[in-house]
Amino acid sequence: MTLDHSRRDQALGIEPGPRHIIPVSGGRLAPDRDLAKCRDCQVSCQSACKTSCTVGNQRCPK
Amino acid sequence: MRLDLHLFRIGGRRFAFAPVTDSLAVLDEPGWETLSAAAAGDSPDEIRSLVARRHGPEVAARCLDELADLVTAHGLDRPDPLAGEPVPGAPDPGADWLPSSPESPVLKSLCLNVAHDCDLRCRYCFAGQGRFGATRGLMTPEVARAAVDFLLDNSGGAPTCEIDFFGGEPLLNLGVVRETVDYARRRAAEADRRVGFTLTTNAVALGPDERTYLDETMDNVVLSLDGRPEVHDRMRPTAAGRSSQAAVLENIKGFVELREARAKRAEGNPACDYWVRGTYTAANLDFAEDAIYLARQGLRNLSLEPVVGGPVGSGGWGLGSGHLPGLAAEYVRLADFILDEFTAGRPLRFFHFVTEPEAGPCYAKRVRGCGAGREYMAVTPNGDLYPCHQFVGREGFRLGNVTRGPAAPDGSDPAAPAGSALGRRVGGLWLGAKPACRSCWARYRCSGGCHANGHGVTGSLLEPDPLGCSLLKMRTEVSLYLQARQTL
Repeated sequence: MTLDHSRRDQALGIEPGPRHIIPVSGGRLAPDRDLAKCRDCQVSCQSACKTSCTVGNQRCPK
Repeated sequence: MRLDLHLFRIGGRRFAFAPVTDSLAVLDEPGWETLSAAAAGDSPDEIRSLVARRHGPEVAARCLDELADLVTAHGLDRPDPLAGEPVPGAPDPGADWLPSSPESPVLKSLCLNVAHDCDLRCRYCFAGQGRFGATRGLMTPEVARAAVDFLLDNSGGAPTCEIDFFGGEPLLNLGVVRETVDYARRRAAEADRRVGFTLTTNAVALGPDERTYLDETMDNVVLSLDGRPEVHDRMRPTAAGRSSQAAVLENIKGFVELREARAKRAEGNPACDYWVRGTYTAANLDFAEDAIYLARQGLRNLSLEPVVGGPVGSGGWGLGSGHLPGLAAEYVRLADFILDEFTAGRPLRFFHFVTEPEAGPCYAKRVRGCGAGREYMAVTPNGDLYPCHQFVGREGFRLGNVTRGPAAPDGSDPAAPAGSALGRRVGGLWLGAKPACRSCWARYRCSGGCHANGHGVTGSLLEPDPLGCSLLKMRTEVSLYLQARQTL
């Protein structure tokens, strides 16, 4: 797997070269109590499964 | 500082997952050593020394720079609200994350078991082959209307609610489904609100008229099909003991054709909302072949789930811990097939591999879980309420009945299940209430798992099903592997 992080690394002051730790995704999830009262998303069991629902597979409609 | 990371390998590749921020990174060997040390709480100097010993000082320095970049970019030093043990006697921190109190739940959706009957006799059916251990029966329009009233009256005026038609087999009572949809829409419109509908069906009776109605009415439809003919027919015979796969496949393909045409016509071309959902057992441990078979039939939104319960060993179809290594390899094989299809421009969605890094559920949702007994309840044909469809018929879990009248003289309200001790117990379940789940790396993907499955296996609502846990962690690792390979 490769991903060109050269510009990012340059901006961060990291020496050019192949990376050893390649960020793929993430960082968006954050504890936010303001969202506790929002109920826009589906209840899990209505998505697909009925027997082994996983909340993590759901999509936020917002 | 110790970083909360889960490191794993699949197919010779190395990955790091951070639960609190749902972050994923791909590593080489020096990167793996760096993050392993960071997860163990080693200091930067200790990490530098460790990595330099095997890979040289330049590599060590670069790894530390990249680690610092990862921490900053993905917020890996963000505190976890679940860290540490709950303090006895202190207010339950879960209260901050629940959208309503267990004493006064605000419903979001109801599952209506419009039929406790079925035209199949599936060997693994969790619903007692449709009748949940009781007499076969159909929901009357009166009970259905009472359920709609109950939902709308107890949903806090929310602009949108949902009704899921289930069973048994809901197409055996399609007349009531139609009446319920009409009534719910009328009542909702009067209050300037909206009700969404979903339906799960075995597709045996899904003829042309039924397909058209479901396509025009349901926001989502779940269609049950296990895969290859011999796999499906082994576990899903008709009530007369005959094979059902061929007819079911034809019906499902007919419905999917309508749904895909609708999606193409719709403005913005939204996702096509259906799922073909099958169950795999110890009789088809090579279940990736069933997913491949279904995909080649043109069915591109798939879910295959492990059977719950059943006899294990000696030819039994139940799953046990001994099956786990083989199942892990099978999930990877399926992921590689999906990747090949993705590369060839033929996207395929497998439910448990679908993750939305930029649009996944928020932290609050992940912490409070499925909402059974609080935001979501199930209703039987005679109006009895249960925390969810999996609890229906289970001794000690009946919450009340939607058809009862106003409050009794002693103040108790049989139509309001929240006031009961059971209602508070189930409605108060959240991720942090389950001790084994609080520190699990998969906690924000699993949210504590299925309360019903856990209780069914362990006898406790607070303890997850161990096999279910193992399977979920396995699937989550493979979904992360697939996500990385599709991204890079």
